[in-house]
Amino acid sequence: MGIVEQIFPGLSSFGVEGPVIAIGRIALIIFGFILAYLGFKRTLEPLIMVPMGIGMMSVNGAVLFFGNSMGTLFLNPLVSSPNDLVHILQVDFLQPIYNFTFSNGLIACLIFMGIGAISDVGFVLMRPWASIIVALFAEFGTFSTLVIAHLMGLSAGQAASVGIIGGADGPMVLFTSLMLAPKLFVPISIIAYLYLSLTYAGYPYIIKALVPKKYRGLDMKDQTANVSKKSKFIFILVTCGVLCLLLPVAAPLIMSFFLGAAVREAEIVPFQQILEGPVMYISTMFLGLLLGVLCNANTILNPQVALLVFLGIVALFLSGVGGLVGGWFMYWVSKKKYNPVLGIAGVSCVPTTAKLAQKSAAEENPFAMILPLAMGANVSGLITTAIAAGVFISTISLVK
Amino acid sequence: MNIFVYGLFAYELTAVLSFIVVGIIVLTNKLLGRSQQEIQKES
Repeated sequence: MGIVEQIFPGLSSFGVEGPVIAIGRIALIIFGFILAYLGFKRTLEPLIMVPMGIGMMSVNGAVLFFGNSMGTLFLNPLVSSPNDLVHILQVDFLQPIYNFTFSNGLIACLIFMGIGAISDVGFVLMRPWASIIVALFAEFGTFSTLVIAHLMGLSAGQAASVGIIGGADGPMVLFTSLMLAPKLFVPISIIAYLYLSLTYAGYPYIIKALVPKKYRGLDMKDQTANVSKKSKFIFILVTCGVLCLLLPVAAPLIMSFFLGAAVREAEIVPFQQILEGPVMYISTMFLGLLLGVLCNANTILNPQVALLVFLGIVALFLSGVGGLVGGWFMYWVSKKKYNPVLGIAGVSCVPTTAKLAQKSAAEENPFAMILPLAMGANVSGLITTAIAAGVFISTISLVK
Repeated sequence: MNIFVYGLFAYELTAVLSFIVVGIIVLTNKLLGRSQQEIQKES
């Protein structure tokens, strides 16, 4: 090895791994740059995309020679033997965060505590039946993608993990794929977060295609109501207990969400500030960074990734369509008093889809106020997605 | 279990569990209520 190669191993490593990996690394460096830039421009969600893009660029550039093998000083997700793990924990700087927060799902739970702390469950209590029906319609993408993915050759666990993208909830996708598809959880999670960032741009077209102009501006101001704090708090306690009893595998996520919500309703201000500020933002930053760092060429250049890219978009598209069909269903059931646009808020991309519903309504009728009910459908979507994830994790072994 | 049957089963199970949750929500509201006095006190 020449002196230049020894000084700049990142460069010389391109020639050692073969042309496919080398081109893959260059492509991922460029892709990481684009993601971070689109985050900066606010085209994509900056909270995830900026750290993810930087992580992706860095890990594909900073390849070193370790004797006869190659690697980075970031992390090694494939280490499994305890001795190797103890060694690598002292070498790779992100390995402790990966092993102690990411691979056991803690980071997803921390984000859920933050989401719970900013979610007002009172919105669900306003029109609970309508909200949950719309949310169930919006799970259509989850279950239809499960079937499509399995028919296209993915195992049942992998199909369920990619299907849950239709639930449009990042931490839930992460948790489910960690449980059911550990070999594919990196590409599935990356695709999920990428698409979730794109819902704000894509869903308005589905709304316009499925809900004619004159129906979008239907006002529902008179149908909102106040809900007492006591009702909300008791609801949180009872729902948390019942869901944990019914779905023990999803209990960490369920408990985390309702802990955040309980802290909010109990007005424990110091806890609430910690959860909705430092806990949620630090976790989100490290989640983005770890997802980026896990995007090395060897992981991403998997023939199944192209399939996942296709299935992810199918899942979110079908969920959006399903949600709007649910909106129409409620419109007719309520004798034309329910704005069908609210259906899109059943897709639980909190609070993006709720804001989209309000925006679509306000474009046609500036006085239309559907945001509280849209938030109710949004939180209901979160609940149905958690239930769907729990059902998958508990029962996927039934598929032969 | 066939994947179609499983998909349908999982969807229905999700729906049943979701309706149980809504049942709890409605029951909670009915039992604990949100009396006008209470809401006025809070506001």
